[in-house]
Amino acid sequence: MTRAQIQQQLEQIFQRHLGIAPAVTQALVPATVSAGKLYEAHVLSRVVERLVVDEGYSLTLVGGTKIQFKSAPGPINRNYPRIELRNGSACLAELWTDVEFLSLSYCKSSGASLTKGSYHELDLVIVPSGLSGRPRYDAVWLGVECKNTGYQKGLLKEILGIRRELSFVTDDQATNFNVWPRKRVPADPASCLMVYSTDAKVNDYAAPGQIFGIDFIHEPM
Amino acid sequence: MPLSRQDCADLIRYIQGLLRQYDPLSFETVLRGVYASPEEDPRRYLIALLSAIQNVYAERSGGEQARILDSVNRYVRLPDGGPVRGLSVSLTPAEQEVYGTAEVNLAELPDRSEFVAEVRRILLIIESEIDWQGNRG
Repeated sequence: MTRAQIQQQLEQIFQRHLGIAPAVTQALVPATVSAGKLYEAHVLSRVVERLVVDEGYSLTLVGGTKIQFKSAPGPINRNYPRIELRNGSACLAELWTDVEFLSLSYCKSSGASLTKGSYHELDLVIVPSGLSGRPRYDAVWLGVECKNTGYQKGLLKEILGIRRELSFVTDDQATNFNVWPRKRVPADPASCLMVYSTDAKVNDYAAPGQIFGIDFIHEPM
Repeated sequence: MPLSRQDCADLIRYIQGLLRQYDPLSFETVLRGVYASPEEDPRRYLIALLSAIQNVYAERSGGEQARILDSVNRYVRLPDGGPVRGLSVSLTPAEQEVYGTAEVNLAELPDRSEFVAEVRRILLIIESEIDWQGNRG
């Protein structure tokens, strides 16, 4: 196919599918609001699958009938829906979306006032059941970051910073999981930390994760 | 005749023009998702640009939402055993003031599945037509 033929086909595709009132679409869902959220939902679908298949949990959405993401992260608000991780009748933990946790450095500096540097966001987080507000770093069972974008060095630095504020590096410790995402992790407290990205290049940045306990997953949408 | 570096540079400009014309508000979002530089190799940039368009529109597609919700419902139920009813994004108080709504239902996004599939088809054609050996023109 020649360049001219490709251009002709592209013109037809854009005209056919994007030619209808883009302004209306944008007014309905501003890009800044929904940016990244459908990919978070996609990753959530993968996470719940593994929690059921590998870990044997039964999962129940409570507090609402829809899974609710947030345009801006914040503390755990128990008025929002969350997914309970149940083993038999007991709820052992909860999966929340877009939650900020209190950093290790903040919790270690006794009496420090809360600043913007005292907490960090995780797109998906599993913590023990019943918590509210910003959970402490040592309450995090699993944190997940979702990146539907080109994976670059800056994102690696970001996740290394998150790991720094969740745990100290140490010999392998037992996590709260039997199989997935990890049974053991070189971190204390033994939180699991994962990065999902649509960009296959995420694998080029995975090496530090072997030392610090971060799993990098290439997950196309 | 395979697509040369110059053909790829021309296609990059053409696609950027289409985006500006048909969806100017998404133009910057797409460019931010391109992890390549047109100066380094326009062939790789062209592939990265089309991949970014796929990703951005797949993410904004209501059709994609339905697939994800089906997937979630295989493993998550409501307390009464019923299915999860939807996926939404709750807005901050400031956003609620601006947009006049407390949440955005991702299911209300327009279905761009066909557009994404068509872009994917063109991407595969371009990949197979590119002259990866030539470094000039």
